[in-house]
Amino acid sequence: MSTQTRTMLLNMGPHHPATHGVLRLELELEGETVLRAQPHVGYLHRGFEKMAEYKTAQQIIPLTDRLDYAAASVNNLGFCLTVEKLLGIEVPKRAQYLRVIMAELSRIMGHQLWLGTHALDIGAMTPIFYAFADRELAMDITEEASGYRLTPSYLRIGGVSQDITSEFVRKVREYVQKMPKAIDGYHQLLTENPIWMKRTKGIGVIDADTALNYGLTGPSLRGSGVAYDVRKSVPYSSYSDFDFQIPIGEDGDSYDRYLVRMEEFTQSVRIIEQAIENLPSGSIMADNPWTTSPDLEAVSQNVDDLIRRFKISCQGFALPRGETYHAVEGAKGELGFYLVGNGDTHPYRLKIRSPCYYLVSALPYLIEGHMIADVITLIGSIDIVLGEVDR
Amino acid sequence: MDNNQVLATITKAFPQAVDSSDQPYGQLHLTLSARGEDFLSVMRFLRDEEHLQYTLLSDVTAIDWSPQIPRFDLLYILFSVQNEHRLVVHLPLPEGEPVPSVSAIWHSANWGEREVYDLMGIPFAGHPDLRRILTWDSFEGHPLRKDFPLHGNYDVDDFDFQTLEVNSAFSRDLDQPCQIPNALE
Repeated sequence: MSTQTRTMLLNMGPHHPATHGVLRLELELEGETVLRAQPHVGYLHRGFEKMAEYKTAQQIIPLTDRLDYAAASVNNLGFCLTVEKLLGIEVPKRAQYLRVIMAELSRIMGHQLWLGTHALDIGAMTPIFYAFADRELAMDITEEASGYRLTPSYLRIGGVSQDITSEFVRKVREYVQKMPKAIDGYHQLLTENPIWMKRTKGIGVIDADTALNYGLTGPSLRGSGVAYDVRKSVPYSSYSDFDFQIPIGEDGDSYDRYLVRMEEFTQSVRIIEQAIENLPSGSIMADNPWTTSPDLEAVSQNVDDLIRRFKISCQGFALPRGETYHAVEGAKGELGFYLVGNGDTHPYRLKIRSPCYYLVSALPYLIEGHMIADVITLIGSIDIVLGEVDR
Repeated sequence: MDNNQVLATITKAFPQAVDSSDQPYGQLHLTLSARGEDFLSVMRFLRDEEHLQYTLLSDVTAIDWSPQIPRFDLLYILFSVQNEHRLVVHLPLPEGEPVPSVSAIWHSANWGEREVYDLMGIPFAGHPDLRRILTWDSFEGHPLRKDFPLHGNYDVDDFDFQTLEVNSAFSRDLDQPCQIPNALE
């Protein structure tokens, strides 16, 4: 009898629970070791960029919610800021602070989803219950502000959709008070857990230069020791007003990426606390007659305002001829929008720079040489949402 | 470094390569006239020059300006983490003309260019793995071109899902079929 060594081709996904959506990985295996890996994406491609060419700016905001649906508000922020940059709109300070609160809440929600599912994939069942119970608090606040929980579309071009209530302020203060203890709880479950450390330390090491070369951004890049955060590098929406730090890792392995995200919880809570305590008073929408609908009070008094409200909501407003790129720090990394206007109410072209797309492209580099069980660790460790990869 | 210093550094090293430059909304946009090997050396210079260091290629994308000539505008969105500076490089491109791939300079261009190839139909020369990425291999047309209809070229009811093959990167060189259990059966 002769023994023959032969490698095996294995498809993981697109319906595998650990792939966080519809990612398919093609793996070439020798025993349990992965020799080569190739991700296949596109199973959730909905053609947002094509659809955006047929919609007005306000109609695109709900589409952006569905990019990274685990952290929706920050996607709204990225798109609104890009349109405002193209139109030259100055957003009032109060709206900027409210946007920051919503963006940081969504970042915490995204990280809580990551924490729960990442730990669950590796085999720790407990964290997901704590993470999701606390995620509910952030959802309640989002609902209080916008009326929606998962896909709020709270932001508008030039501001936010409605002013906050005193209940919102109370809930945010309560949240800020509760969260540090909750974060300590997450740390107690995992950070010094020997099984957790064995499964994540030294798994998927990527050094700083390679990480940048692969286009990694966000916590996955900072885990490798590069302190690149769009909120600090190119501050937008009053982020320069707040005092917060950018946690970075040293080794660039899964454990460091874990620690970076865990520290980001604390920093995001700090930002929310500062924003709610220093919330300026004033208007929540930019004073721009072309893009801001007149309020219902004015509409009932004045027929010109009625016509203007009707025109803005039905027709939209023209985007000027020009093009620009604007990036924000999404929950997963640099989320950018390249917007081209040609004087029409629809964008001529909208390109979404999705951080997850480039995170997935680095997966073969991270996976090769590891065991199949580590593939699961790595998919969780780089924190991808397929809605954003495929757009 | 600000926009003017960056521009001066590039034009000093490559006086012929930059066709024009613009600074809309405070962002530096360069339009290159360099082609082929010259284009690659400009891009390599942007990454390696010690004062520039555009080590992060954020994105590669294209705009279809049809019926204008040249039809496409290929964009490279670069960021220098060291200088915290953003640079957008434009490359005007007629239809069907292949562009040298920059995936040897930035790995992120690998998937960036695959997406442009898939959705815009711009071929890249020297790309290590130029396959469709968001659509399937037998898909016809390039969805982000302006002449591609919003609802696609055929009705979904007329599409025979049984003809869809499974995209595979390895099955050919492993001589093994790549199969997913068919949910329709």
